Formats: sequence, structure tokens, C-alpha cells
Amino acid sequence: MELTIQNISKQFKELVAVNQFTAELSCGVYGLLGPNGAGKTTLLRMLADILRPTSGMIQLNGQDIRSMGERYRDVLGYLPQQFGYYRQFTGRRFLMYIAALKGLEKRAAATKVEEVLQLVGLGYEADSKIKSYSGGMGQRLGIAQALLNDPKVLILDEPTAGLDPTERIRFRNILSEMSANRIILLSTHIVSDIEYVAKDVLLMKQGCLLKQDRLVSLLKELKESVWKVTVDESQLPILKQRYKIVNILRRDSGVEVRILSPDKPLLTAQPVTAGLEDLYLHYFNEEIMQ
Amino acid sequence: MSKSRENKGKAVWADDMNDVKESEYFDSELEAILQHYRVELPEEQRINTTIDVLRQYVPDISENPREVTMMRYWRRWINLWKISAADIGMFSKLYWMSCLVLFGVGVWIGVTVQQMPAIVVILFSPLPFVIGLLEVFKGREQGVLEMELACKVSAQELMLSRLLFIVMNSLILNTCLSGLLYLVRGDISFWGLTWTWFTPFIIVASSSLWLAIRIRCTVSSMVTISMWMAVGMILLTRPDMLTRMMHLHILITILINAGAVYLLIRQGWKLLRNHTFIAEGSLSYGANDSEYF
Amino acid sequence: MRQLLRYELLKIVSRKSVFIVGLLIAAIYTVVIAFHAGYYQDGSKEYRSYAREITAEDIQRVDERYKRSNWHQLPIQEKSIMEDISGIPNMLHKYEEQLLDIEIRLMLSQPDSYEYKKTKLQEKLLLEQGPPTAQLYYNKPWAELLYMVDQFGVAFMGVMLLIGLSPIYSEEYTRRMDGLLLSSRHGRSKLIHAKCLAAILYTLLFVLLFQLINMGVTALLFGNLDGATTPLDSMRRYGDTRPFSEYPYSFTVIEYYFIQLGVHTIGCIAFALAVTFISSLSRSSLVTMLMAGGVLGIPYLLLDVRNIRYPIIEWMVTFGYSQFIRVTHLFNSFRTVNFFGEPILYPIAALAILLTVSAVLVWVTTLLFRRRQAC
Repeated sequence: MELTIQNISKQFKELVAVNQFTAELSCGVYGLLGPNGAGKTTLLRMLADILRPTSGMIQLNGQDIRSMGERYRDVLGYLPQQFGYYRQFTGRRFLMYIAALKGLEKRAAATKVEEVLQLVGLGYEADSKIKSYSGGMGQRLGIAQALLNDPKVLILDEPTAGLDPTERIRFRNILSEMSANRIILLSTHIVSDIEYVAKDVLLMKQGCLLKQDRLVSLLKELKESVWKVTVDESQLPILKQRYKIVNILRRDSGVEVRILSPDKPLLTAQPVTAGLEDLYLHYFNEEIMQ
Repeated sequence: MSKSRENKGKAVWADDMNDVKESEYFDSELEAILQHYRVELPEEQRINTTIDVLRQYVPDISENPREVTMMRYWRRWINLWKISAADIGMFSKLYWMSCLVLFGVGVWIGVTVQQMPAIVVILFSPLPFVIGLLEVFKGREQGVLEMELACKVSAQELMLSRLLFIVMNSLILNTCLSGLLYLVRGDISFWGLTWTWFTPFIIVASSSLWLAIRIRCTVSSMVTISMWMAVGMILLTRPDMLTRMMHLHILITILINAGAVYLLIRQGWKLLRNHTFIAEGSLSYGANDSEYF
Repeated sequence: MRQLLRYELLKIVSRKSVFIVGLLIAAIYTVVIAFHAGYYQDGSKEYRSYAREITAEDIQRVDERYKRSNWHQLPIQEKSIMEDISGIPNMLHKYEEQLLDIEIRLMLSQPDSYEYKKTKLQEKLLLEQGPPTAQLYYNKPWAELLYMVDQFGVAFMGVMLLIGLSPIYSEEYTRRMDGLLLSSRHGRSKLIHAKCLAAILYTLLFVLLFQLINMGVTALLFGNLDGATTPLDSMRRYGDTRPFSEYPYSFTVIEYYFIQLGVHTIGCIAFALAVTFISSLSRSSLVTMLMAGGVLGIPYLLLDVRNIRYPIIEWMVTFGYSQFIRVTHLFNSFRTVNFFGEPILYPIAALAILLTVSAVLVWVTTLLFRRRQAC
């Protein structure tokens, strides 16, 4: 199973949302990281076949997904960043409707709906009307509908927004279990979502792919570039001016600062293992600084 | 008293004395520590000066409390109109265009049609109000209500000010239409025409506001407009029904109008005093009763 | 497909607005009936004695009765009978005049010309109709039935279709469901057909409901549904069905009722598909409703505001959806359309155009939604 993204671009009038994006995805979980406005959602929409690229092609196993049409959407599961429901439907009915849209037969749909409801922890609330659901429950319902047709290609746009930590862990575990023979691409701002499950991370900035690599390799670049130091309150402004600050933690003994710097910032600074947040800041913090 | 008991007593007494000395010692220590936190009262002259400066900000409490209440009401009404005036620019293009189109079409048909110009004014009179209701409940519909409730100008005040504006705007538009038709045509009475459109306007306005408070505004507007279209189609093809309705006894019309005005005011009051919104899933939070009135 | 159709239909009928509007329109219907309560009087007994050839003596007796000043005080049924009897000579005379007029036109027009063929067709229909029989018929309940479909039917169906179908696509956009729908397997194919079919089923449901209510209430108020097999042109004497005075066909009342039902249903379905088309273009259900309401209501408004006479408006009025839902206007006079020199009866031509337009709208809707990109 291979999803090939060949030089796709998307232009809205004068705005180039995605610019010559190229990537190859095989089975496993891929994390798509990027700041707001990087073009992640636009990219995912093109992969979900709900937006047409201005140029370029997306292929699944060598076939253009546009020519595949229904056959591609048959193996696709998609969770948009923002979506709605029919508030007067119950959760179960909503999933049955989506199952019908995905071409599942009635009996098979009923079984599958029950399965996904249990998977996302909505078994007890399945027969309540969706208008009574909390934000997290709604999000879980969205995840459930994406899994209904046992998709081979799963596109998830910020799937854990609104989920509490327990639900996020459950979701991560579901993804890990599923990733063996599926292509899963998820875009998120919550780095812990992909830190433990992602095979590869795709870094996206201003519509372009910055890097695609294993997380371990990307983090290796930051070896001895992440430092931890405890300073006085009065030294903090100077540090902020000179270095990229990842984290500030006030303790009794002083202010513990996590700094991103290729050189040792202070004599008392100690090197620490780089994490995904450090990576994010390393690549995308320039925009904030500007 | 036996010696042992005496001795015991003495021992106790001695113990007590020691305790007292100890406590006295701690008291003085404590006092020394607390002295550090002592707040000295300011001089009396300083207090008086401060009172004099603050006096200008203290509202005038008249001898007549009723007068005070009336002043407060008046000030608040003026404030409401000020909010309304400031908010005009926030009304959507759809509202202004609808008003313009309805007015234009109303004038065109009213001028070109030979018979029954009143029907045009009757049919069009409630529509600007019904479309304006979308502006009144914009915050609720688009999920901004929660933020508005936390602002200085509260959501209730905002909704009420918009409601006042669309009522006034509708009345002005309809009056202008009647005026124009009266000027262009020689066969109608201005006051007769005004009275003719006022009844359906106030009935539709009050009932649509009643409905909009209870269900989603877009849906309630659709229900109102579709029903009004049905009524319009029926009346157009049954002129006998229309004539009979237009020539109802004046007392009945006054009663109906009064009832509708009362319903409109009451719904406006309800809008002001209590408004619910969905904050989290099925939990429905009621906004605090407004202390506006 | 059945599942999809079921859910699409459920989405339409489970809306609170459909229920509220249904109740309100039922209330208005009650008011309209109550307003004309005095009209609903069973006159079948009075008419039964005149179910024979009306003689010259009958006509003379009626003329003498009219000369008396107090004839206004007679009961309504008797007045109706008097009016019907006194109208018979005029009806016969009018028929002969029409035949004469046709003869003259045939002589003046060139054989094989369109005008000649059209007049020949008119003559054929008139001869099929035959001279009006000098007989009284009682068919008031049916007149009321047909009139209600013509007058109230368009308001009822128009409103139910607008409130039920305006959100069919618009709400998907508003609720941001379009992304989910378009990315699903059947979202760009079967879903569109399901929505189309659901719109048609919804329309049929309310057509049936309205017809049943109309028939039930009429039968209840009149106490009977007499006159089903009487000639339709005998209805020209009622005020409400006066448009049939120029009616050129030879249907009986029941035949016309079914024709009206059929055309009314087709008209409603066509309008439903038009609303669906507009909904697929608009992100707001309210805007869809206003636009579709304009498509339905503006020709309706202009027809009844008789002074506005521009060709485009007359065309809109002639081929507007409201006319197909009302039906009467299609059949109440002899009109043809020139189709490559051949006269095609107006109802047939109009229906053909309506069906073609509807098919095109469905095709365009399918095309547009299939190619839609979710933003």
C-alpha cells in the first residue's frame, strides 16, 4: 500500500496554500506538523478527495485517486478539522447513516457501528441525541465514523482536539493497533499524539514540505542543542532576547529554563534530550519571532 | 489542708505561675513581631480631604426615590439607543439589501397596480422585521453569545438594542412606503393605509419574536416567512377574505393590536431578563437575570 | 441505496420546522373553511328534480320569477337553480357561435398552414365536447374540491416544499457535513440520487395528505361527493370554477380530477426538484427559501396583479411552477404551441417543457454536487 503525493499545489486566488508538496507514504502512522496556516488542512482535504489540486497528482498504488473516484473513497477514512452532525440524530443513527454512505450493508453496518462505538468509548451514550453530547464526545463520534469502513487510508485532521488525556491515550493506542497495514496521516498541534506512535514526521511550512524523516533522525539533529539551566528572575529577560526559550518553570531555587541553542548558553547549562516540542520550535519559531 | 495537698497546690501554683510568665513572655514576643505589620491610621485631615475628592463621584440621591428610579430608567433607555446606533454598522448586507429590495418592489407594485395597493403594503410590512430578527439573534446563532455575555455591553442589551432598531426601521420603512403611495396615487388615505399595514406587522412581529426566542432563529425566520407567503397567496386569490379582514370592527382591530404589542413587549422583556445558551453539551446555563431593569 | 433514501427522508421529515409549519397551515386551512362555512350546503335534493331535459316552460317560469322583486330572498340553492336554468339558452347560443367562428376561420386560413391546423384541432375538440346539454347537474362538492386544489393547493404545497426541502443541501454546507459526505464512497453518486428521490417521496406524501384532507373535509361538509360523472363544463356556472367557461375539452368531473391530480403532482415534483437545485447552490437555507419562494410566488403575484403586461412576465406567468401546481390555467381555454408547424395542445407542450427543465435541473444538480469541493 503506497500513497504517493507528487508535486501537488493548491492556489486560492493569490494565496498558495500548498506548494509543490511531494511525499511517499506507506503503511504506518505519519505525523503532519506545522504552524497555523502552513497548509496542513488544505493538504489533507486534497488527500481526502474533497478538494482538487491546482497541479500535481495523488496516487494510491500507482493509480490517480481522481480516476479511482469511488474506489479510492471506499478505502478512505477521513476526519475533518471542523465538522458537524445532525443534532436530532442519536450517535448510533448518525453512524448508521455514515455507514450507508460508505456502502456498508445494513447488517454489517450495525455490527461495525457497535464495534466502533465501543472502541471510542461511546457505547453507553450511543442512543442519546447528538445535541446532548459534550465536545469530547462529539470528537470521538467523528473518530468513530472515520473507522467505520475499515479504511486502508486514514486521514485525521486534529483528531484529539477536545479530548481529555485518557481519551487521547486511548486514541493513540487505537492508532498504534491499526497502523500495521494502513496508511494513517494525522495532523495535530499536540505533539504527544505523534511522539510515541509516528513512524515518520512530515514538517510543513508555508505550504511546502520542510522535512520528512523518522522522528529519531529529526531529533538527532538537535543533539546538544537543547539545554536546561536554572537562573535568577532578573536574568530571564536577557535569555529571552538571546535564545529560543522552550519552557519556563518557576521553582523555589529559581527559574528553570529550557533553551534551544546550538552553543552552550550559560556555564551552568546542562544538555538534555531533545523532544518533539523542541523540534517544533526549532523549525517554526521563526514565524513567531517575526 | 494537708501539707501534701498544700505542697501539691503550691506546686500547681508554681506551675501556673510559670505558665503565666511563659505566656507573658510569648505575648510580648508576639507583640514585637506583629508590630512589624501594624497599619497606622491616617490623620483625620487626610481622611476628610479624601472624602471631599470622592464626593463628586457619588451619585445624587434625591429625596424622592421614585424620581431616582425614573432617572435611571431614562438613562438606561438612552444608553440602549446609543448602543443601537453604534451597532448599525454591524448589521449584515443581507438585511440592508432585503430592506432596499422590499421597499423598491413595494413602491413599484404599489404605483403600477390599479386595484388594492393596500395588499402590497400588507404583504411586505412584516418582512423587514422578520429578516432583522436574524441580526438580533446573530450572537446566539453563530456561537458568540458566550463571549458577549462576558462583555461590558451584555448580550441582552445588545439583543434588545438591535430589536429596538429593527422595530423602528420597519416602522419607518412602512411609513415611507405608505407616504409615497399616498403622494403618487390620489385614491388612498395615508392614515388608512398605515392602520392597514400596522395590524399584520405587529401580529407577525410579536409571533415571530416569540418563536425566535424558543427555537433557532434561522429556522423560526423560515417558518415565519413561509407561513406569511402562504397567507399572502391565499389572500391574493381570495380578495373577499382580505376585504373582510380589512374592514373588521375598529374595536376588534384595536384589541388585536394591543394584544400583539403586549406580546412583543413581553417577549422583549423575556429576552432581556433571561437568555439560555448551550455551554457544554447538554448542560444549559441560564444567564443571570439582568439588573438592567 | 434504500438505507440512504431512508435516512435522507428521515432528515427531511424529522425537522421541527416541518411539523410547526404543517400545524400552522392546517390552522389556516381551518380558518379558510370556516370563512366560507355558509357555502357548504348540500343542494343535491333540490337539483335531483331537475336531472332531466330543461324545457322552454322551465326557462319561462324562471324569467317570470326574476321579474318579482323578492327573488333575492330565496334560499341559496333555489337561486342557484334559477341561475343555471336561465343560463342554458346562453350556453347553447355560445356553442353555436363558436362553431360558426371556427368555420369562418377555416375558410379564411390557408389549408396546411399552422392556423388552419390549429382551428381544425379546436373544431375537433368542440365537436367531441358536443353541444351543452339542457340539463342541470349538481356537482358543487367537486367544484369546491377542484377550487381548493387550485387556490389553496399551491399555498399548502409551496410552503411545505419550501420548508422541507430548502435545507436539503444548504444545511449540509451550514453544518459542515459536506466534507464528510463528499469523502465517502457514495457521497458523490448515490447520495445525490437518494436526496432527489427523498424530495420526490416527500412531495408525494404531502400531495396525498392534502388530497385526502381536502376530499375528506369536502365530503364531510357537503355530506356527499355527488356529481363525479357530470361533464366538467357544467362547472362554469359556479363563481369559483368560472374559469372553465372557455374550457375546450370533454372530460367528466372525475376524469378531470385525476388529470388535475396528476398534473398537480408533476408540478409539485418539478418545483421540489427546483428547490433542490437552488439548495445545492446556496450555503444558507433561508436564502434558498427566499429564492425558491420568489420563483414560485412572483409569477403568482403578477398573475393576480393583472395590470403588469410585459412579454417576459406573461411567459413567466404561463410557464411558472405555480401554474402547474394550480393546473386550472392549463386547461381552461384552447391554446396551442407551434411545434415546427404543428399545433400541440398547450397542456401537453407545457408539461413536456416542465419535464425537460426538471430533468436538466436534476442533471445539473448531480453534476454540481459531484464536482463540489468542500471549502
